Amino acid sequence: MSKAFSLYPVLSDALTEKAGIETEPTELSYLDDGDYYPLSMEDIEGESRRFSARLSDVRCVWSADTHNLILRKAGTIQHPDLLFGKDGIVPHDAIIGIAGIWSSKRSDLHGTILFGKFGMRVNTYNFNQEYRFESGELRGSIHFKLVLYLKESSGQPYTNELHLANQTGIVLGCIEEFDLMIDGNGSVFPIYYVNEPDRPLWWVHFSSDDPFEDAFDDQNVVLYLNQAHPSYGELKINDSLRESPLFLEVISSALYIIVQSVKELVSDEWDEIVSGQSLEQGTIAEAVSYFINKLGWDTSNPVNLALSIHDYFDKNLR
Amino acid sequence: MEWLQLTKEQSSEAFVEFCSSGTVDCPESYSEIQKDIQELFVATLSELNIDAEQISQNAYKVDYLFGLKLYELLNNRYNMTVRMAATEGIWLFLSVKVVPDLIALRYGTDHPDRFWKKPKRLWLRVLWWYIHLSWQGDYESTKDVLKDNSTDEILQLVDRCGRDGYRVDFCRELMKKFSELNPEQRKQTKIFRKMMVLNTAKVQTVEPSLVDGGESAYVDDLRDYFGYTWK
Repeated sequence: MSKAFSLYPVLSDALTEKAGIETEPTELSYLDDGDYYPLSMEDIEGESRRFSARLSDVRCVWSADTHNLILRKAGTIQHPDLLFGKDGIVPHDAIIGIAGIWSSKRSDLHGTILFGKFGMRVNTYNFNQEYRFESGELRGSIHFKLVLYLKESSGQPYTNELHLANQTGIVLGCIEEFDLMIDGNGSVFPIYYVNEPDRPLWWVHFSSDDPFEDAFDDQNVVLYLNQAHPSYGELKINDSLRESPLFLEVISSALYIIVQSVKELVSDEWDEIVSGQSLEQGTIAEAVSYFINKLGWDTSNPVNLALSIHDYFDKNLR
Repeated sequence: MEWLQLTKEQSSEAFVEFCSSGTVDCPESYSEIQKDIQELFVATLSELNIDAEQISQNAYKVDYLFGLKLYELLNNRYNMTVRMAATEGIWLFLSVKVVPDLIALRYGTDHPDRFWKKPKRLWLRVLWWYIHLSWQGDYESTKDVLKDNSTDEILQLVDRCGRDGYRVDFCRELMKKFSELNPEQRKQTKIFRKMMVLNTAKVQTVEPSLVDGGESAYVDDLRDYFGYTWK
């Protein structure tokens, strides 16, 4: 969705560089019993302007239920004048704003944070803004985008500026964006242990209606292992996967079932998962996309999928 | 309040159990909230001066009046937060273990979507979000804004907000301004639905809160596009 075709010029990488737009690392902290403590980003993946990370508290105290989350972002635009005029993104007499746009599908929330505004006649422009998410507000992950937008439109654009955006509220491009996982680590494969005589050694529960929305968690995807089954001991659950070929087979088959189920369910939208664009972090779609794009699984047909899953585990675990 | 949760699979089983036995298997720790919700439901019916058989003819009135009461109860007495309200397991538990009998009165038992099957369609959850997204600061003002709507507005508002999360301030402004339109006219022209469709397209490029004049100006633009005027 963020890739929507634009009818007007937006901030390009080249213009970002030319205008000297730079940001400081995001500072995260929280208030606990009257004192502020820092939070850090761990497991960072991606580039400096587009990445995903997991929120981490060295004190192991922070929780979205009980603590707020304070986000601070600062940066500089060395040559703001280059953003104006016919080779820029807005007319010469317009005003550009800087804002943070955050969304969190699993919190059902979307909001904005105002950072400031500037016109053409400023020298270096510095911005620095803090925002507090209240406790009990966030869930799952948040997607944060630092954007430029048209704050005030041009009264009298020059004739060579008529191709530029001139409607207030229009987003003119993204300076930086990241996904921040705030609950759990997002990579746990949900496994439940049950004790049910007369049932198989293992089975998969898959109950998602919409893999683009549903989380890759135990609400929708569970691998059940049956302790009552005579072969349960053979699984050697407490050993590493490396030492239990049977358990490895179970995991491989379970993942095969999940990927195939998702593929059948989404049918026409499968390409979105393969391309991995604009998928919500923590969803089933994102997990499957990870299997395809990061682990190299071949989902072109069932035979190749089974083959590539086994191949992956053979090469990476043994 | 220690909120309990169910998985979809557990709630599916509990729903089948409720349908076959007709009894509610509510744990002791939830008996107080169960009683409170039941009282609100009874109060809603008596406020409307209807009995249980007349609920379907008064579906919207039951939804919004019961919704308002439920919203206040859960938030004020049981400290419901947005984070909790976004957690499907909590709603699944309330739906099939605490008050499935009330959902059955509203929908019958042949709509599993409203009990457990579609997490975004759970009746209690939908009502809570409908009120939350329409909230005007207090009970009476919110009631006033919602009184002339229909179940279609509930669906459009709660369902149509896409994969990006709700823009709460925009929704509240929209609901306020929409209530200022002539009720008869807006029913005929399905203007709410049209405005929501236009909004879905617009937010691809424009952020409502960043428009000059904020959400208020943005909502005026949605209306002007269709040539309507507020009364």
